Amino acid sequence: MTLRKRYTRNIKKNLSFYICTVLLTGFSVMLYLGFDAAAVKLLDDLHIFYEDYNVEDAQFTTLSEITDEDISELEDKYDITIERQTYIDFEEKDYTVRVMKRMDKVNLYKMSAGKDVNADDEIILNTGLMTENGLSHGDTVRLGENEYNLVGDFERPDYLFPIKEATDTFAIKSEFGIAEVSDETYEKMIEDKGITNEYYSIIYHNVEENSSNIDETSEEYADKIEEVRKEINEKYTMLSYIRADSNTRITTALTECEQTVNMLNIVVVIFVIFIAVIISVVIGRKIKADRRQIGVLIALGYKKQVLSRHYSFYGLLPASLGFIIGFVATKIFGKALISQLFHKIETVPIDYSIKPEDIIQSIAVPAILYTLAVYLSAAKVMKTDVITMISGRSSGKNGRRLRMKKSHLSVKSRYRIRQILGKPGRSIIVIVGLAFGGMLYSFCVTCVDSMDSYVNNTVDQIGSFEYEYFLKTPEMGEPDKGSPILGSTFEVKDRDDMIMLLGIEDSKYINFSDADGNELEYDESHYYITTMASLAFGVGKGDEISFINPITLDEYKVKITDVIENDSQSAIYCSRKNAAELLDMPEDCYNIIMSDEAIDIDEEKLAKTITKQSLADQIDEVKIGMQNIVGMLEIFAIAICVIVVYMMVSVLISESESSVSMLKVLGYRNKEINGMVTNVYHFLVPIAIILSILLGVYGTKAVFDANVSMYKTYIETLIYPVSILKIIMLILISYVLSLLLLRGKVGKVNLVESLKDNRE
Amino acid sequence: MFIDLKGAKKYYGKGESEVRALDGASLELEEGGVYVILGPSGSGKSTLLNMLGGLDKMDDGVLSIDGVTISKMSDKQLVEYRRTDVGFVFQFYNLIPDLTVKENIQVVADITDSPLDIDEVMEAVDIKKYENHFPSELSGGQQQRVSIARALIKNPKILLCDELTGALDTKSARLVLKFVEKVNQKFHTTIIIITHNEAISGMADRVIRIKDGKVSSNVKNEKQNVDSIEL
Repeated sequence: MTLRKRYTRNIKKNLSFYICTVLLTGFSVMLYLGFDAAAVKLLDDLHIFYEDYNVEDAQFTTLSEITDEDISELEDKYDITIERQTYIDFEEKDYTVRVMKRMDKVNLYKMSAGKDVNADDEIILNTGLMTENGLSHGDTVRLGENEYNLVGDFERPDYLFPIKEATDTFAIKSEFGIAEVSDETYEKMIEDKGITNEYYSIIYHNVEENSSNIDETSEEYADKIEEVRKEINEKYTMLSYIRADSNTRITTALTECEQTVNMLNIVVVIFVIFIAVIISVVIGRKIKADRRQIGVLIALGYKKQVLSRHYSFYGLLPASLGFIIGFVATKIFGKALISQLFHKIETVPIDYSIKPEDIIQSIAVPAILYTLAVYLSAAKVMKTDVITMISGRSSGKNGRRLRMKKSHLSVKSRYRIRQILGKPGRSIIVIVGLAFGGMLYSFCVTCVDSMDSYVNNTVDQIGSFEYEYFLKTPEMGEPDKGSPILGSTFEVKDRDDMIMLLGIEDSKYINFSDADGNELEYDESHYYITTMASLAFGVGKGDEISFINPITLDEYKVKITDVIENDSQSAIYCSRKNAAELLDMPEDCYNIIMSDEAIDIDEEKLAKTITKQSLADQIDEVKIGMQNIVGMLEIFAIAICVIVVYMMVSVLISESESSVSMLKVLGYRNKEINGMVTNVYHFLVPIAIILSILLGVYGTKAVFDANVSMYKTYIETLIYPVSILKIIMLILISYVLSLLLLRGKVGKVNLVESLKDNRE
Repeated sequence: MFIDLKGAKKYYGKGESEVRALDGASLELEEGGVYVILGPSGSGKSTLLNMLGGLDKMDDGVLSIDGVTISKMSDKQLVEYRRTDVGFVFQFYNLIPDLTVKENIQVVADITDSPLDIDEVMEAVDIKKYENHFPSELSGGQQQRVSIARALIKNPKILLCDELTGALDTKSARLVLKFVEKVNQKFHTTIIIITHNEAISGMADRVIRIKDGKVSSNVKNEKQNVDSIEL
């Protein structure tokens, strides 16, 4: 059809519009395929990985050893799998390597690259430790006195979030990792160094087939678990029990994916709809500008439906080209992007390919949405009668214009106000576009600032101690130095989370103040909850909280007297006496020592040591990861702001072409015309800035509040004034940049030609 | 001579499609007169007006107005020329739709060093009562009067009118022409009217005819009152 020849001409004429919409669509396709769909697929694949590689349902330690014979008996009796896991820690100069005994039944590892160990001098490392330390296959790894040949790298489902201590909040992949060696080499290591620790991993097979072995909720399944735990405790005296769903080494990967999906589902949907609205508004206006030609074509006998279909193509073009760009970009950068997002966890050993249905969705959704939007816009224009269309006049609905009779504003300002209020759709898009771009950036800087403040201040909230020593077995009486604490972890009733009960001697090292900073009086008979636990479990002053002893499964309920400010620990504080009573232990026993100076404790007795510095280092690591994302989003944010403003001001200029032309005729200089016509949206920039800051800050707060359990900490949302300044600058720079790009447009408006068509 | 145009040439296109809009047009006009330029479509009238108004540049020839050579001016200088010396009135009024009547006039006063009094100008063309109306709320004749007021506010040396009654009914056209006549008498503005309408030539001091890009005649006219012209 001859009409189709208009397509190429229209594209040439409106090249900048098509480039902008194609880029925005490409960006949203990349956001969907590269992050959202990738995270959904990652989540599915993670479940499969956990299933295929037999991730544990729980791990526990016992006072008495469970023999192989007893294990077999328990397995047969309850349809469960139990395997003893031992490991040896090697503290090397730059990192700690945990050599794990190779498992046959539970927590099997998957090779990521290279080959598995075959010889006694061979070793494989988890991918994170290897890459973060610049190691590669063929390198030599020194552990203690011996050297091993690095032949491959792997991942284990129970160490996807590689933290040294189960209580660690953040992983520093360069400083800690796991390794596997041959069984013979492992036996030799035990002989030389001895086992660092051991525990049992257990899988409770589900009554239903083909179902994931975690997150089970059936009553029958729960009863079985309770029965197994009781029997093991009765026969072998359980010392600790950690469920997989409260083991961050296992859950972090899942929660990261879930959170990404939840967040991006909203962001991508908003973004695609936003672009569809922009496209429909812009193309709608272009169709309106074409009304004379449309009128002529209808007068010549063209059906309105045919013309609507013809115009629909204008929506199809950015959708398809945007898809191609987004798809190619995802193919090139997808893995790097998702790795940035999941920098906390190991590179999950799965295929990063895109599902065909996601590809279809990413082309179909924008194509349908844009085409429909344009079709409706065209249909709306064609409702006007043919004579009006041919005359080039509008349908008479010019919108309400403010007369501002008594206003003392200059003519320029009045013109700008009428442009903004007279075309609300265009103005809203400018605000939303600027605010959306600014919000992306504001969200990131707020995250970084909050973490920075957390590192600087919140770590001190825990108290004045510098060292926290955790003993393997409880001691009686008083330690030589430091303050004794009796602590134990409990399962919070009806929650997949744990809470620490800390029985303290006095409040010497504890910061006993409420969220407003008011000092609280420590009362030995009362129970106090930290702000983080209060938020995570929704328990406040005067509320009761129920928790379960993970070993005996006994349930306790205590009433909370007050909430003390501590955003990094999920804990209940009480007197040592009360804690001992709950734990059914002697009154003067303790298993933790808090101190403001280093204490020399026999290594045999020591389970682990936590220093404030190590905690600060871990948070710093996350902050650095976040800063990388900020850098990336900064570019996206500027691009979105520039593109949206460019498009909307372009529309404004082309719609004001006759006015611009007339101003030229009247002797206005281009600079003055730019000041009047192009700078219309100056008024909207402050609104967009305020919106982006508010959305970013409240968005961050929502994410932090929702992630208290995952992060095992509560990060108070905060934004520094310098960051606010950065956001303002980013939006202003983007805005000015787009106006600079548009400066030439006014100069290109024909002085004479547009005057011929100016009839309102 | 106030307006002195010599050998003006303006060609569009090349080869077979070349159009000679002005092909050696020459013209001399005195200050303060009313001049009507007549000619058929494509004769070069609008091109001539564009040259006189500094909207376009000629390929060859010399144009000087009040002793200043316009034809050698740069784009920037032409902007300044349009800003201070010329007022335009177009067939389709070309008012800025988002500005009220008063603001459409004010927008020109804002860039003029010594503008006339807005109220006085509005009263002169009888549009004061519509000062807070938007162009879309006015009739064609009323809009054209606003257009004249806008052109006058800067007190230009020349008022160029391109088919100023072309879109108006006879009654409105007569009213507009009466205001043009009044402006000429009150402000002594040199007025050049380009039109198809032979009848309008009755109000002119001189009638200039253009044909094929050349001035075919430039004759003195027995000036009549607009009321006595048969439109």
